[in-house]
Amino acid sequence: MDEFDVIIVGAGPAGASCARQIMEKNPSLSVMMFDRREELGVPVRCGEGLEQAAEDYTGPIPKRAICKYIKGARVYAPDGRFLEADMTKMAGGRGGYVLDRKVFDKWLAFEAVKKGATVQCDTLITDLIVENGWIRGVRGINMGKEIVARAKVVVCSTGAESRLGMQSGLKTFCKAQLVDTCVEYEMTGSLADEEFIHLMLGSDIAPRGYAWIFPKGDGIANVGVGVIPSPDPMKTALIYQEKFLKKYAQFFDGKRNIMEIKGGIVPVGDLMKDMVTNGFLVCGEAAHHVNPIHGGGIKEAIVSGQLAGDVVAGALGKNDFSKQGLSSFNPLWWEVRGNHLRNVEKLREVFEKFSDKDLNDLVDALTPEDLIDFSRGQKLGTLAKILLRKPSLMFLAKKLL
Amino acid sequence: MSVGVFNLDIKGNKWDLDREKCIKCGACVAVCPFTALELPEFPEVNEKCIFCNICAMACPVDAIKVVKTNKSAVVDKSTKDISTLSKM
Repeated sequence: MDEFDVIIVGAGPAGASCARQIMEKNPSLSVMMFDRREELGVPVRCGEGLEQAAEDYTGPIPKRAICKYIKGARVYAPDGRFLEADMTKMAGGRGGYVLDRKVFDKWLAFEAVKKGATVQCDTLITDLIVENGWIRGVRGINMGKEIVARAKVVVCSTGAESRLGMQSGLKTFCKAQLVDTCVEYEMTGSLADEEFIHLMLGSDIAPRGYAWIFPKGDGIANVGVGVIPSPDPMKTALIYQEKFLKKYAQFFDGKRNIMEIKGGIVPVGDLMKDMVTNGFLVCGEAAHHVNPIHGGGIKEAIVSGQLAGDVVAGALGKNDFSKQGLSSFNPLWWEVRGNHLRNVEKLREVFEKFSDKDLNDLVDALTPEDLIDFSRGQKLGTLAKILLRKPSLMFLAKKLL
Repeated sequence: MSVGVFNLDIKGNKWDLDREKCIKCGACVAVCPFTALELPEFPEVNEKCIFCNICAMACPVDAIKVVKTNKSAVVDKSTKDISTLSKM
């Protein structure tokens, strides 16, 4: 049986960032990352968009992990008119990237390995070892063989689809009403402007969520929809995806060359208040650390992984990895990200109530700067003022003030 | 880990996965309130399933069919108790 200081389950952006941070804080610690996938970054379950500001946390992203540099976003109202937010013209002046996650995830993990962490892929962790209310390690299957490994702290960065975190007693599971279900094609023949990502709203193509085109260059793009889950088999994400391709047919060459089909869910709220227990911490998408309005999760995962790394390294330094010793993660994450994301969630709750006509009107009333501010959970008062001008939407303003 | 199957039939209550349609994305596993699903490769259902249909709702490609005809056959297994979940 192996023993480590820290076991990290899931070597995606959150897990790898956490491992790297721990090693930077204290290179003498032993950190093991387990990942269930045979190849890190594969399969991709993601639009692959990342704002450039994330490099403040990761350091410069190597060119090979970037498919396309993006200036900003165009948001389309249901009637097809759009609002263009060119982030390079705004404060900070930084745009974003559409990444190649297959390269990016391996790079992030390698950065952690360079600092001294260890990674083992093709290892499905099936159970936490729970002893008297403490998480003491994990059991799993590595390349067909059963393994048991113990650690002082287990970090769960498994993503939303894992059930592992629930064994700790923390409320990691996603309520069905608070996820969006998504389908995405990586396809060729996109004719949409490749300097922008394109986000389309409308109850006919994406109830509650949105449809998107994220260009990867040369006419290749990630094209997808995220919608509210429904018991009606005629309202699956796949069916809305086809409606979207039809409605915005002008953006495609019509040849339907699909190179990859991806699916999944995105948590759009239900931010966890308590993310630690004795010898255990959950971060990244597993803790629902995703922007509840646009569903972007890579940067949130990186930030939450790094904060987790700080806390875990600190707790091990004091030799107190009880719930108490790790509990500083809760206020720390809420201070740095949670309160912003909670504002974004409030905004989503308001947007959910909008009719298509309201959304059309909103595109007239907003500026590109507003759009970026809202996506960051800032200046909700601006939206409240707009809502107050419309009698039918006045009641929603209260939610924001 | 519980032993999972692709098709479950408990006294007329059915859970069926269409492996032709399934894209192995894990959406169903993520939303299951009863940890009745695991994703070794395709999603597999175990006896904790209460046929609540939430997985089918979240499935982006309509690959899961749930039929619940016999309510009395379902035992509600609470997920709150940590001891029932950790297999020591």
